[in-house]
Amino acid sequence: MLKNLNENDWVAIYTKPNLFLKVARIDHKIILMGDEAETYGKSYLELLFIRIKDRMNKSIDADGAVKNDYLIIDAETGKELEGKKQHFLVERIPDCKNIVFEQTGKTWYDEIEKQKLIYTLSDIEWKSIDLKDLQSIKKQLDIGFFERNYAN
Amino acid sequence: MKDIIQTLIEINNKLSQVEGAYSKDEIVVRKINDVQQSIVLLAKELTKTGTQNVEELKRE
Repeated sequence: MLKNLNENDWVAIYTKPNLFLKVARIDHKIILMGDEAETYGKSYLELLFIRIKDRMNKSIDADGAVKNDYLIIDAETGKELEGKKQHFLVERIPDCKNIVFEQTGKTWYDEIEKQKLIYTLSDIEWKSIDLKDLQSIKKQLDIGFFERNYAN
Repeated sequence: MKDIIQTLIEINNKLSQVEGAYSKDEIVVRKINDVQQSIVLLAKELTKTGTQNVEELKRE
């Protein structure tokens, strides 16, 4: 289902099948094999770590440690890793650009592009940013998914 | 330092364009305004630090 996706790829998060919540980016991808995978009843397991809160909303533990709230997803099923209560389902970004997204009345494309914009803007740590990061942000603004919106 | 400030200004200008495209969407406009505020604060902080460094160099 989500195999072959990599870090920084976009995914769609659903609270129930067909009930779209939002887009998010894969932060980390790890592969478990052998004993580690057998813990989960498999011989091979791809895990995707997806932040469900953006960096601005990250929680801070009582000891002051910054905690990223990760959703840990089995790439084969798109479901949360076994053992936790299932709250979310993750799928690839839908390929249905001209279909109206019933929750907002916009097209899926417009809704997803808007959410990518908000996620990207929320995902910048302005206090610790360096020139390389800034140039990357500028590049996204120059040639990325925002371009289409200028034309409208 | 100059490159960073210049890039921040360019990002800020691009964001103003994006804001225009999403002018009817309150959530996007608010988010862009928050980011632009962070950019201004960062630019001010960098400029201040830069000035201080220049002053320190002069003293040395």
